[in-house]
Amino acid sequence: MTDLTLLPIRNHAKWLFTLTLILTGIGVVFVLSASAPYAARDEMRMFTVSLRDGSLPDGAPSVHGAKFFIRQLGWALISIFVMWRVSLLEPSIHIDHSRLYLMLSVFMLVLVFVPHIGVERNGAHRWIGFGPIQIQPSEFAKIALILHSAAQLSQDERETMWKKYSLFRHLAPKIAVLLMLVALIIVEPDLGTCVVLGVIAFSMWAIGGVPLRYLAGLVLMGVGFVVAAVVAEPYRMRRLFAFMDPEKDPLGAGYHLLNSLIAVGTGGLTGRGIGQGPSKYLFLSECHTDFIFSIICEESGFIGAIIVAALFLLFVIVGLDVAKRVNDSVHKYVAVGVTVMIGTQAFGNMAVAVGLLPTKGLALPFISYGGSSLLANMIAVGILLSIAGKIEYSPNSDEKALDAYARGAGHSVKIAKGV
Amino acid sequence: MNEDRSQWIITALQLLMVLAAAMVVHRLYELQFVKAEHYWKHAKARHEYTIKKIPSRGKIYDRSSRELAVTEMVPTIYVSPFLIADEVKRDLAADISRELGLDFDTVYGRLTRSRGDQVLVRRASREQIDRLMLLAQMYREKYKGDKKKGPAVPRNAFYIQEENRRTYPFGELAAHVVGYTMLDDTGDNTGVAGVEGSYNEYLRGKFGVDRALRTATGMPLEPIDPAVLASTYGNSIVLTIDRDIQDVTEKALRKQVLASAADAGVAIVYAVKTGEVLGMASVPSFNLSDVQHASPLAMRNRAISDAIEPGSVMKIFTYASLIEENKVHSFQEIVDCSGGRWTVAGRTVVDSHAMGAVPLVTAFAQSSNVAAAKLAMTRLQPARFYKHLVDFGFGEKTGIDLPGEAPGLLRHVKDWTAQSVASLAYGYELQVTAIQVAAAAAAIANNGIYMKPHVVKEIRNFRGEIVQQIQPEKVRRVCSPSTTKRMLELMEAVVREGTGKAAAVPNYRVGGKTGTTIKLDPETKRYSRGNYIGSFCGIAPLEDPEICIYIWIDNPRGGAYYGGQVAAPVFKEIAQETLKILRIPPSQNADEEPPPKSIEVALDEIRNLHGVPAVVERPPEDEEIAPGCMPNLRGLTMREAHERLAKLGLAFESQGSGVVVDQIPRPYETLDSSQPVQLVFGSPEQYRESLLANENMLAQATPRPEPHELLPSVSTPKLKLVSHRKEIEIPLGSDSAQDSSTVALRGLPSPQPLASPAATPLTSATEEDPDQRVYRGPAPDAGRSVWKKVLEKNEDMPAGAPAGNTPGATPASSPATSKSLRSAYDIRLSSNEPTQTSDDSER
Repeated sequence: MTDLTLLPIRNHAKWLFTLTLILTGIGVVFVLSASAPYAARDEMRMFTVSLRDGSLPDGAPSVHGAKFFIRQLGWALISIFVMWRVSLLEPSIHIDHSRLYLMLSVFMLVLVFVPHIGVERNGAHRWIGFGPIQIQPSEFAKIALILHSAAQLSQDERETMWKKYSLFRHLAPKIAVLLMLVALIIVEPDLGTCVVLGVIAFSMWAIGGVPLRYLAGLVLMGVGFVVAAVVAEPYRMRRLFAFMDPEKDPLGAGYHLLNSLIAVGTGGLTGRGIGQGPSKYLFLSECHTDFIFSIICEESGFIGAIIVAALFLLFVIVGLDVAKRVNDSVHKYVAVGVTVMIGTQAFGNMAVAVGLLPTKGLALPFISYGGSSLLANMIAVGILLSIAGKIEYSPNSDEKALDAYARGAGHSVKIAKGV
Repeated sequence: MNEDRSQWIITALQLLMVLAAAMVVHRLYELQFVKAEHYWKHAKARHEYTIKKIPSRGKIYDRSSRELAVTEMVPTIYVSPFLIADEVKRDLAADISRELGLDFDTVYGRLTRSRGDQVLVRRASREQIDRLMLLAQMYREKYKGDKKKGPAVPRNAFYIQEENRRTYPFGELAAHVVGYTMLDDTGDNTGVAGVEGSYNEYLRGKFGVDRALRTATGMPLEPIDPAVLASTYGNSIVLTIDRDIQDVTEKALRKQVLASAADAGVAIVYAVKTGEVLGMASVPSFNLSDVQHASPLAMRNRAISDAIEPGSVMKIFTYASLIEENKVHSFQEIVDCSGGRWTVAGRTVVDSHAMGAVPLVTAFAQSSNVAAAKLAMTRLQPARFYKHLVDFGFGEKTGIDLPGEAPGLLRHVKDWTAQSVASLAYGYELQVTAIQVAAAAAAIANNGIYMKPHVVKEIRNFRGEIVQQIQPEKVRRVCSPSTTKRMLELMEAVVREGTGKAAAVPNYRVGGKTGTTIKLDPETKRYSRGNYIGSFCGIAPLEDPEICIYIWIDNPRGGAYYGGQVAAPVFKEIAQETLKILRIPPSQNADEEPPPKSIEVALDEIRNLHGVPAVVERPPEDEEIAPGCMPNLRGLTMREAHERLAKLGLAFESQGSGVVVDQIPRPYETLDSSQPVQLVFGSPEQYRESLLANENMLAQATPRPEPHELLPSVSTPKLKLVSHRKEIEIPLGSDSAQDSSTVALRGLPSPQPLASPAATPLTSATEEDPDQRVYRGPAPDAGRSVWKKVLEKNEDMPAGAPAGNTPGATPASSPATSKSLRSAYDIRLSSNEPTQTSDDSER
C-alpha cells in the first residue's frame, strides 16, 4: 500500500476534533452577529429616531437579537456531546444498522410532506416539526447514504473478489438508493443537498472500486439531470444566470448575490469588525444560514475568510488522510464519505457566497445556523473520529526513545518531589 | 492495485479540495482587493441613506435666561402610498380615519396619491402612533400577500419623523418683541415677526444632511454625525427684555388702556445707559400660542411701527435744543405765555392752561405751548433746530433690531413753513415712533450720548456658549452733559409741580414730560378736539438716570385724556416696579425736604463755588411754612389734615368727606388761633377742579407777614444750589425796571367770598418799590432784610473773597448785574414762593 498521507501527523482524531470545535466556535460567534437583526426584526418598531439627540430607536437589536445565537449555542453543546458519545462507539455498529438508518431517513423525508408534521417555510418543505424543535431530515439522509453506501461497497468488495463486477447487481442498487433520496429531497425542493448527495456517492463509489467507465457515464447522466432540474424550475434558471452577472438585475434575480458580493467586497483585508457589518441588517437574506460566509468576509475580512477556508481545507485533508490510513475498507469509505460531505458543503457554500457557483442553498458546516445541520455534521464527525481511532500508528524509534525518556523523567520528578 | 487506486483517488480528492479552496481564496482576493472600490460604491448606495434632519430652532430667553420661546419636537406620521397594495387602501383609510380620528377623505386622498411620501398626521400624539402601528400590524397579518409581492401593508409603509413646534410658555408676554413663526414649505419654522423674524437666520439652524447606515427596511443604524447634528441647532437669543419688567409694563399699560377705554397704548422701558429695551408693550396685544386668531391690529408692534405726533413730550427736545444752543440762561428767566394764545405765521398756538409771564421752568412744567413755540421761534435758528432734531434721531429709523420699524416723519428744514418751528417746538408737524422718543430722551439722560436701541443682548449657541454679544453702541453725542443736568431739572419740575405730578414715584426722584396730542383726523385732515393721545416720557432716578419710560395712550375716552392724567400714572406704576426689580436704591431725600440750610451756608457755597445758582429747586407742596401762617391742607385726608393742624395747636371744623377741597383761612394767610380752621372735604375730582382756581387765588392771597416774623422762615429755605457759572455778585435787591412788566404777579380775583386780607395787586407792589416786583410770595421787605443781614455779616469776611463776590456791590444796570440779579431772584423766589403752580393765568 502506497503511503500518500499528506500531513505527517500522528493524532488525526485530535486534529479533527479540535478543528470541529474551532469551526463550531467561529460559527456560534458569527451566528450571533449575523442573526441579531433578523431575530429582532419583529421587535423593531416603526422608524422613530429621536432627531433631537440622534439616539437610536427603542427597537434596536436587543435581547431578542440573541434568539438564534442561544439556540445555536444550545445545539452546539448538544451536538458536541453527541459527537463525543458517537466517537466512542464502534464504527461497525453504524455499518450494521445502515439499512435501518436509511429507512428512518426515507421515512422522515416522507414525513416532510405530511401536513401538521412537515413545516413549510418560504415555499420549501424541508423540515419536520416536533413542537419547538424542527429537524431537517435531508441532513440526516446524508449520513444514512454514507453509511449505507459504505456497507454496500464493502459487500461489493467481498463479492467482487471472486465475481465479476456487475452493473445491475452491484451498481444498480446504489444508484437506486441515491435516486430515491435525491427524488425525495429534490421535491422539497433542495437542489443543493441533492448535489452534495451525488458528490458523496460518486466519491465513495470511485474509491469503492466501481469501474471508472460506469462512473464517467453516470457523471454525464448526472450533469444532464442537474441541467434538467434547473430547466424545470424557472427560478433556478434565474438564479443560475444571476450568479454569472448579478449586476444585470441588481434588484431582481441578482439581488441576493449582489448583496453577498457587496458584503465580501467591502470586507477588505481585516474586515469591518465583527458585529459591525451593515449587510446583515436585512439586506443579505439568509445571512445567518446560507450566506454566513459573506458575513465572515465582511466582518473579519480576507484574513478571517482565509482562516475559515484553511480550517476547512485542513479538516478535509486530515479527514481524507484518515481514510488513507485506516486498514478496514468500510471505514475508509465512511471516512471519505463524511469528509467529502463536509468539504463539498464547505467549499460549495463558500463558492456560492463569493459568486463562483449559483445560489442553491447550502449550509456552511459547523458555522451556519441550524440545529439539524450541526447535529448531523457532528454525528458524522463523531463517526469519523471513531474511525480515526482505528488508525494504527507505527511507532518510530524516536518516539519510543522520547516515550521512555518522558516516563523516566516523570518518574524522577516524582521521586524528587518525594511523592 | 485496488488499494492503490483508492489511495490515489483520495489524494485526488484532497487536491480537488485544495483547488476548490484556492479558487475561493483567489475569488476572495479579487472581490476584496481588486474590485473592492466597486463594491464599496454599491454598498454606499444600498446600505446608506440620507438623513434629513429638520433644524431645531433656538430658544429665546429674557435677560435673566428665562425661556420665552422654546422648540418642541413633535412626531409627524408619514405614509409611503406606493408600498401599500391598492386593494386594501380603502379599508385601511377607513380604519385609519376611525382609529386616529381623522377625516376619511383626507386619509384616502393621501393613501391614493401616486408618488412621494405623504404626511398622514402632523403633530401626532403618542396614542395615535400606537394605534397606527397596531393597525399596520393587523393588516400585515391579515393580508400576508404572496411571496413575490410581499405583504399588502409592509413594515415600512408608515414612518415617523420629528418636526419642530414652537411654543411660548408665557403666551401673551412680550408678544410683539418675541414675535412668532410660520411653518414654511420646507417643513421648518420661519420667524415672521419680532425677534423671531429679525433674528431668524440665527435662530433657525441649518438643515442637517447626513449619510448613515440603515437597515433594508429603512431604519437608521447610526446616530447623526454630531457635527452635522450640532449644525442643525439654531442659536438662542437672549433678549434685553426683563420678564418681570415686561410683565409690569404690560399690566400697567393694559389696565390704563382698559380704564380709559382707549384704542391703543404703548409703553417702552428703556435702559438709559445701554440702549437696551427692558420692556416694550403694545396694547392691544395677542397671544403667541394662538396667532391664527389674532387680529392684524393686535399683532402690530406699535412701539416701533406707529408714528404719532408726540405733542408736548417734544418739548423735552425743544428745550434741550435751546439749552444746547445756549439760549437759556436761567430757568427763572421769564417767558411771556401771552395768556395762552399766541399767533405766529397765521397759526394760533393755544395752551390748555392759559398763563402769563412765568419763569421758564414753570412754562415747561406747565407745558406751555406758547412758551415753547415762542422760545423756539425767537431763539432757535431753524437749521440748528433741525440739526438737533436729526441728532435726536427723529425722522430716521433707530435701527432697533426688530422688523417693521417706521422712520417717522421729520421734514427737511428746506421744506419748513413759517410756522414749522413753532409747531415742531411743541410736537406737531412731525411723527415719531415710541422707540425714537424713548431713545432720544434716554440720550439726554445719558449725558448726551445717544445709544442705539436694541432688544437682543446676546446670541448663544445650543450649548449655551455665547456666540455674539451685542454691546451697547454709542451712536453720537446729542447734547452736552450740562444740558443733561439742566434738562433733568426741568423734567423733575414737571413731576414735582407741573403737569406730571401723577408720575411721582415715592422715594425716588423722577422727572418727565407729559404730552397731550390732538390727533389729526385722518378723514377730515383736521385736528379735532375729542381725539387725543395722552403721553408721558419719564426718567428715573434723576441722580443717576437708569431708565427712561415712554408711554402713550391713544384716544382715551374716559373723560381724562391729558398725558398727566392717563400716561403719568402708568409711568409711576411701571417705574416704581422697575426700579425695585432693577434694585436701584431709593433717592436720598427724595421725598423729604432737603436739609435746611441757613442763608449764610448757602451763600458760602455760592462764594466757594464761584458760580451762580442757576436753578433753585422749588419747595415741595407740603412745605413747612412760616409760623403764624396757615399751612396748605388741600388734597390731604382728614386724618392728615388733623395731624398737621394738631402740630400747630389748631382746632378745625369740617364739612363733607374725602380730601380737603377748601380751607379757611386760605393757605399762607395769617392765622388767627382763636378761630377754628374750617375745612371743606370733597372727592379727589373736586379737589383737582378747585385746584387751579385756588392756586391762582392763593398766589394773590399770600399774606405779608412782618419782616421780623418772616426772617426765621427765610432762614430755613429749601435751597438747592446748583452753580455752573464762575462769577457771582450778591445783589441787594435793587432792580432794573425793564423786567418789571414781565414779573407780574398774577392771580384771578378771588372766586371765594372770603376776603383776602393782604391781597396785593401787582401795581401796588411796583409802585411801592421796584424791588418788590420779585415778590410772588410774602413780605416785600423780607428778602431785602435778609440780604441786608447777609451783607452785614459778609462785611466781616476776610478780603480773600473774590472781587466779584464782594458783598455790598450795589447792583448796577449793567448786563452782568442784571444777570446776577436774576440769580438772586432765584434764591429768593425759591425760598419764598408759596404756590406750586401759579402760572396758569395772568391778570
